Amino acid sequence: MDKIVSRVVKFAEGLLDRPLTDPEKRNLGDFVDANYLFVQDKKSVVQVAELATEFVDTVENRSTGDFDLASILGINTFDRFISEINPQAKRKTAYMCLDSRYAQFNNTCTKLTWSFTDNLNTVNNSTNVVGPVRDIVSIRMQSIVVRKFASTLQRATILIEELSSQSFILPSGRRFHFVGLLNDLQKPINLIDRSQSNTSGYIPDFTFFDKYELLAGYKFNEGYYRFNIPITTLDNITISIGNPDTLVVLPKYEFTNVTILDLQSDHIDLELNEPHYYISPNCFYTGANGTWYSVFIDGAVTAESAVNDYLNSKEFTDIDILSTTQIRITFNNLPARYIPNPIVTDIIPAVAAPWTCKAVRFNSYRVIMNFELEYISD
Amino acid sequence: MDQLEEFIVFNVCKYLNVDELPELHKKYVLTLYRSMDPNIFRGYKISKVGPILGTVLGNKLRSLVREESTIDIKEYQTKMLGTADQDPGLIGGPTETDLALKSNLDNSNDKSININNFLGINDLNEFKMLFNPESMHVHYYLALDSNFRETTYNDPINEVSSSIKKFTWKYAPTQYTGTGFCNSVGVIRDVIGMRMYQPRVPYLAAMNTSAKRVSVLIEEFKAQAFIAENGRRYHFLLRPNFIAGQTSIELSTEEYNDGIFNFRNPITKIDSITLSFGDPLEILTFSTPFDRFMVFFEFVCLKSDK
Repeated sequence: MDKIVSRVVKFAEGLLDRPLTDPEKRNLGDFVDANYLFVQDKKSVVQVAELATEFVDTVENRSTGDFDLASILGINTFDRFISEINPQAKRKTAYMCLDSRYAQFNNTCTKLTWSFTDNLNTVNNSTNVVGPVRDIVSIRMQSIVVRKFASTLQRATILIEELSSQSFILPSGRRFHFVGLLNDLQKPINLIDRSQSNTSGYIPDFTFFDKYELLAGYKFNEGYYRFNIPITTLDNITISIGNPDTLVVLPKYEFTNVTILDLQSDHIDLELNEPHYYISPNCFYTGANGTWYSVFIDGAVTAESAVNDYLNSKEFTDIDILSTTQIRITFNNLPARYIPNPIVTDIIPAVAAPWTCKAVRFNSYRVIMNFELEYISD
Repeated sequence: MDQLEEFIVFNVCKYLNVDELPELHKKYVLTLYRSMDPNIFRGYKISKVGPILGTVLGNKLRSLVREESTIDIKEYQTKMLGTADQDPGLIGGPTETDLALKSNLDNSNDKSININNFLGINDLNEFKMLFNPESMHVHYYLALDSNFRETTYNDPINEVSSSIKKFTWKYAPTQYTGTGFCNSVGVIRDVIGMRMYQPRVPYLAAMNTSAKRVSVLIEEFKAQAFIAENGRRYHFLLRPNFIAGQTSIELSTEEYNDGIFNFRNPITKIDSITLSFGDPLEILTFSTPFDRFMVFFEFVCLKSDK
């Protein structure tokens, strides 16, 4: 039989005008074994010619007949083929919003943590994305607005702590994923000149006063960080912002279990149960220094229902920082010149203790961070 | 004997290296040939089939002559014709063999094929490089901090406080973080492109030339770079944004290829990174003290199993 096979090989190679490949030779052996009985009563030369021509027909007709492509260059599943050749087709995007209002802060307010959940159940300190997100291959940061900080380099570094194993590394040890240009919202970005802020003048509007927008656009790799090894799971997200290697303090949005120390007709003093990291003065306007925040009181209870309504329904802006844990809210009228937005105009009577207060919210520096996650879908 | 049979005999003669076959041998060859189903050669060029049949039939004749001193042609003819008469292939229809083989092929469960060579490509990575090269890219990130630059090189042009023309960092992936080094997660090699994040560098009055451009060169990669007429090489040509009174200056990548430079040939290895700045054609000289600056890069590299 081997002799027949070798002759058929030669005959077939002649017909094909090329040597048979090793797989073809193996197939030919099987082919001869399976079909020899159909030609065994013929002369050997006829056997060789017919087996060879039939085999060659088989080989050549494969290009037009029905067949199953079992593998190509070692890839034996369509899923892997797409993953290898066009991985982009397997990728999906998810969008994640991180809100400092719902973050868990560390003791120094330099790291904010959220629980990463891939469902729509909102719980304390959670951030939600739609659908299961795993095998993250890139993250794109969108611009973030934070409180100003002094910076010679005019750059901020943003790190997702849980992903620090793949990141930039500064010689100082600081790791980060994104670089943001500090754009002073009091001097909005100019396509010609991007520069440090000019802090003179007075514009105490909380929407842009004393704030940097961290821009990670086309000048900073479009805000992308690409992971060479996909991030398989993500349970928590912890963000820190560096200047660029010193961590920036991000003041908390909400303080609970607040104690009312004093309530007079023109002010209320509040004791927070942790350092607030707000500073005084935070505003420089023509003629005087000042401290201006957007503060809300929640769940204040006194003996006067009118006072309760007043405290729990107003936005207070004239704030004094008494200590690292105490603040004073002054009830007064200010010229519109200093505060463009409507503010407190009523003066309330003094109310005797006891008072209670559920929470105080500082709306001035609430930070919203948006990220686009690109991941490999199942 | 028709022309085709003459051609077959001619090829047998050619294979055996003889001018002419004896009549007896010619008849034997033709008998063998006529016993074949002509349909099996349908679709093949006669110029290709002829030499093959010449080889096969010539070998058959040669072995027969070697085995038997004489050939009883009648006996052979009877045997051949008798066998052939039972095969309808001789009168033009499908042969039993054809039907049997076809049936056998159709019933085969193994209709799958494995492609180990695709248009001459037999390596998956090579295939990916040609069809979707981006799938073979990996990204590495590098930060250069002027406060941690290498200042101990003996080369006097590097670090004389009043004349600093080049800023150098030794490259160590994740080891030796600290003064003199720049670091990355993963080893940067086979670099095919890089993107410099917009830098903010110490301001020099010499930057404010009529060209209003600052060039940036990574010395280690200068073999592939822009080349100016005066020999100055650079990878990036950036627009300085002059702001009066500032000691640092933004070098805008906007509208200047967004800080991207692609290499024609991969940079296989990095041991150090040395930056120099130009005005743009003459190299700029810095002197201490100057504002701290950082330059960030994204390197696009080829995947490697090295």
